[in-house]
Amino acid sequence: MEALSKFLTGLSYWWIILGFLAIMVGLYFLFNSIQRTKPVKAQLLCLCGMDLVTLLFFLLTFNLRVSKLAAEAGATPRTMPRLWALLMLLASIGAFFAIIRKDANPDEKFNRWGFALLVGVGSIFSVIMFQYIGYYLSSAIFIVVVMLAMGEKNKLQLILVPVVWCVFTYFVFYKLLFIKLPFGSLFSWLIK
Amino acid sequence: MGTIFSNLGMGFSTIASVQSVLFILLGVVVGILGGAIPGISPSMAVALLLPITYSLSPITAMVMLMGIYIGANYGGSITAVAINTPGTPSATVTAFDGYPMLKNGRAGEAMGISLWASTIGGIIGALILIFFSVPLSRVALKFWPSEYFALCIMGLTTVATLGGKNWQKALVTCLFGLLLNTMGLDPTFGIKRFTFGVTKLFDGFEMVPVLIGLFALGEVLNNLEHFDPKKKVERETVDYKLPKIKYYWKLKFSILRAGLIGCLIGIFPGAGGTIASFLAYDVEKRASKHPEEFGHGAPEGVAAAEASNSGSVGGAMVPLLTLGIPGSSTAAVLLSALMIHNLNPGPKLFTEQPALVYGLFASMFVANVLMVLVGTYGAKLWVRVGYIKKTILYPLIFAFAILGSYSIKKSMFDVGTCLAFGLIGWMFKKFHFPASPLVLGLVLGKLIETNYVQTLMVTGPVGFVQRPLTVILFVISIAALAYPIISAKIKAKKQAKTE
Repeated sequence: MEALSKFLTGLSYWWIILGFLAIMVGLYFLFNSIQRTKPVKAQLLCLCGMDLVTLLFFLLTFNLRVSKLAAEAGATPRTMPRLWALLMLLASIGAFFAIIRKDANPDEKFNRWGFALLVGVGSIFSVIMFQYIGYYLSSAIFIVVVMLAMGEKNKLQLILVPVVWCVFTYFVFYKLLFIKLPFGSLFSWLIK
Repeated sequence: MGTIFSNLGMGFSTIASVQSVLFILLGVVVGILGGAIPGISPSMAVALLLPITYSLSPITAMVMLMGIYIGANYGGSITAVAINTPGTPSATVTAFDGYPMLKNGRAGEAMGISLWASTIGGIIGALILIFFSVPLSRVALKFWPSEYFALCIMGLTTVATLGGKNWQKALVTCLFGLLLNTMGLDPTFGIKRFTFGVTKLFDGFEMVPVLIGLFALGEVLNNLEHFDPKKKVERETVDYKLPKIKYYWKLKFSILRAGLIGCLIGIFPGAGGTIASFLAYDVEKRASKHPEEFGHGAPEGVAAAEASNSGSVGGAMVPLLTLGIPGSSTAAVLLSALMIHNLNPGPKLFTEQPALVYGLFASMFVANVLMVLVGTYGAKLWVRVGYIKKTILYPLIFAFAILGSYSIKKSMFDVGTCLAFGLIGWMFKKFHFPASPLVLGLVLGKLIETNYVQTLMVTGPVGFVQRPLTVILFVISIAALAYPIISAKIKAKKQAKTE
């Protein structure tokens, strides 16, 4: 167990995320192939996602350093994560049977989940762009793009909303609260 | 008793000047605005205005900072109701019923209840502070780590009612929150846990981005999923009229109970308004004749959440003024403010500076009254958020969430945290995993671990059953956890029999 823990500790988190996604895909196909679990596969995947994280944490506890003082006290840095992991396992078994019960609610159907996800990805892209084009321009572009994607056609509103937002954030956060929002490398010469 | 009244009279005369009232008003306004902006916590709002007080007299400085503290505790509820984004962690519980009320076209009611419950809760806290501060602080000091641990476990039992029908899922999300809370440095031994080489994770997850992500972004992503651009966007009609004062009378017991719970929890250092609001909400749900309405727009839910977190302000001041121990992070900033003005909190403060102490007490009443005035007009503006077109509102909430998460530590990592928890919140909402128990786990995790380890170090495992109060708290916890589950099962069986 300790060897596995050491191996996991040495892995980059990108590998861990990749492994997590691979297992989730595998579980998706598994749940989809069983009659009983098919209508509730998304709920089960949510549950398994949390359980996978729990399992990872549990395994990682084997590589946590334990000081002599902690060992003498009987409560080490490993104690609480393991306790929660154990209780999580028990609670998950209960939740699993509650989800697959015959009278339980089936999964809610996905509507325009791709659109919602795209907005989420757009926000990540907007955050990445902070360091290049700055907070103000990046957030203004993000607001306009989402408004357009949602079908907004009023040109005045498409211009006014991002402008008012930028003015508001500049005065309230930058001037009043002294929270320096990134100007971006492209415009950094302006404040030098 | 007579001395207290005469001292209070002296306190009111100390702050009975236009200058003092104006500074309290300024504090309340700044506090409400700060509380309403996600990312600006009450402690941050007080800290931001601390430099302004250097040139003021100690009493003026302290009453202004007190006004900010009181205002910020209420301010957090405004965005919780208007856009499902708790401005402060303690307003999380307000969003459970406040936002559904807005969606049901009862925004005015929700805003009014949060305002009046905050005010009355704050006054209850002030009254307890005035009359019982010294004996209560002595009781709080006698609490052992095992009792703190048992108190936190009692807090966790609210999961049973927070989850409702989905209590199994609620239990899982709560434990997941507790597990996530173990990320970062171990609170006792300082050993790195589950940080994956990310230094920003040494302190674990910052609470505000987690809250904004789970509640605001989760909600917006869910709404975006159901948004149809081809469908003509119609403006929703929202009733923004605040109810008449008579309306609040029916909530008197809810407010009173929650105010008292908030104040009592606030006295314990480290507990704070967030735990108080969870506990008060739980008590209210159990006491209600219609517990099924909680989470779907129950006025009692909003009242309990707000009265308790405002009541906790008075509670947090008890150990601060009597012992010099801050009961919350904002109280810690107030402690430094007292020291900046050469005032040493503790029992001597009451004898050496009675005018200041009772002036501060009096200012709590004045601040709460001013809050009603400011809140009445401010709430009318905020509830109009419901009139904003969705094509404008959703992108703005996204931008607000990102900005709020960034502004706490100016950290992109916090923005990432907010977005990641937004995704989790969306999935939780879609598949009926309650998000609030996860927050409960994140809030209580560190306290539980610290007190658990301390108990073991001081007395060993026997410490958990050695003291009667600890055992009583454990028994209450077990009963509180089992009761709603067992009673629901009995009800279901009875229903099945009659059918």
